[in-house]
Amino acid sequence: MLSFYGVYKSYSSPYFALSNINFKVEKGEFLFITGPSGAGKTTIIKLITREELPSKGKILFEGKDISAIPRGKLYSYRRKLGIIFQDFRLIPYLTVFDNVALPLILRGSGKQEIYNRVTTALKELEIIHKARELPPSLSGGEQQRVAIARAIAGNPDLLLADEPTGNLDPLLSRKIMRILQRINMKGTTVIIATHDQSIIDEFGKKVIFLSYGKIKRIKT
Amino acid sequence: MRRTIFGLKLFVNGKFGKPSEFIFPIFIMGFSVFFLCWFILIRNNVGYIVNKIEKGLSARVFLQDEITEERAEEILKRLKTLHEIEYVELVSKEKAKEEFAHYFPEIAEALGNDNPFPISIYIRLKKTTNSSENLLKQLNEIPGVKEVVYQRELFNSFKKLRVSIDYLGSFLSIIFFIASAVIIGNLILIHIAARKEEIYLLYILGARDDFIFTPFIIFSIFFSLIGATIGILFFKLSILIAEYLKGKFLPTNQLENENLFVILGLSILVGLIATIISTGRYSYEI
Repeated sequence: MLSFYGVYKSYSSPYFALSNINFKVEKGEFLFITGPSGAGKTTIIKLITREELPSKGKILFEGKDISAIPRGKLYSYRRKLGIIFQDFRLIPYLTVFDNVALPLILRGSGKQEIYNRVTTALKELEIIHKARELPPSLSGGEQQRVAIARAIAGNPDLLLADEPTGNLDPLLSRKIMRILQRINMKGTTVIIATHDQSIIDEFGKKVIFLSYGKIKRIKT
Repeated sequence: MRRTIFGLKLFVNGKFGKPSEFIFPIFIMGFSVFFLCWFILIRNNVGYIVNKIEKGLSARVFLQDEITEERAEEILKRLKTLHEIEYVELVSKEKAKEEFAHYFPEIAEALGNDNPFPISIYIRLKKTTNSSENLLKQLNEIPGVKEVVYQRELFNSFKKLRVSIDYLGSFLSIIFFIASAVIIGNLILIHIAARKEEIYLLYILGARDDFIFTPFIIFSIFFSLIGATIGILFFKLSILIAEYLKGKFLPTNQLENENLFVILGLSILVGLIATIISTGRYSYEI
């Protein structure tokens, strides 16, 4: 589904944030990308969302080079992704329902479809009772669940999470990880960038270890 | 449609700057429209005066000294056939002297029996005649005609004034509207910058440019319209004040409604262009 072939990324030459990154993610796979701060985890996520372009190498999604997608067509690629940010990035003046509905509205989904998908996602994340509230009135854990609901509401092919438990306590972090595992079990491919080794150890999935922008090892 | 409405909802609920940020763009657009209204009004009035001078213009066609009375009659008949001419009268040498003596009796007496006045034909053009100047120039080319005299200086000076007003008014209007566009464009850029994170998020979630920037375009059209409406209201008010102080001071003192709609349309266009340039510049940075 997703392949990195000899990917390099440099923000300021001659230093590379990523060097010679090669890996493949199959459909339905669950992958952790880990490493210390500055190892390049977020850069990989940004390359997948095409917020950044690789300096060298190719990234293929469903067999197509994502660097070759013209800017005007990027939206259709990004609509296949669900993204969870460490800082949640919810729109504070929209209700929980509207925040979760946002990707569906952007796709032009019908009113009934939006209602069904949003309520399903909110029920799954056990936050349906907060649907009419505004994000600032929610706790950190609740906000992260809203962010996950937004990411899965559009039924993405690939779910990306950048430090999804970074701002949460250990108990809540495990709860969130179990939710992501549940989503993966339904067939969604999941990639999680995290530096939380305890979570990686607990869930025992495929892991890419990064160090100074290079793949140190891949544990399958 | 639902998307556009949702985009507007996002925009309206999002971060807005201080009210003072909006005053200057509205003021400059209002001033541009106010100036443009006055420019068009003055142009219309000068045009009206030129037209009045041109229509119903009278002239004297002086014939050559050695011309015979028969030839003079022929020219008179020819002039009578021209449909642009309302009135024609042959002024003989004697009548010309009489006319002169009426206005300058002492000089006429000094002339004694001498009569230096040539035979001429007095003509008055119809009020509906356009491009009188061309017609009078054509009369000059009739064999036997020495010179055609009319209020050329007055006519030409008004024509020159109209051309000068056209150039100066157009130049200043363009400058003011460019200034308006730059200021509205900057206002839009400030608002885009204030919503940078939100716009970035929308792009990552799969929003298209039109979803993100349509509300900004509507916003700038709204501000351009407010500015233009204020400009037009001040223009109308200034006319009322001027008339109150000076009485009716211009031959035609109102702009046609079509003019006002064109001005409103122009201000919307200026706001639109400014926004498209600003948003276009920004969208490629993301």
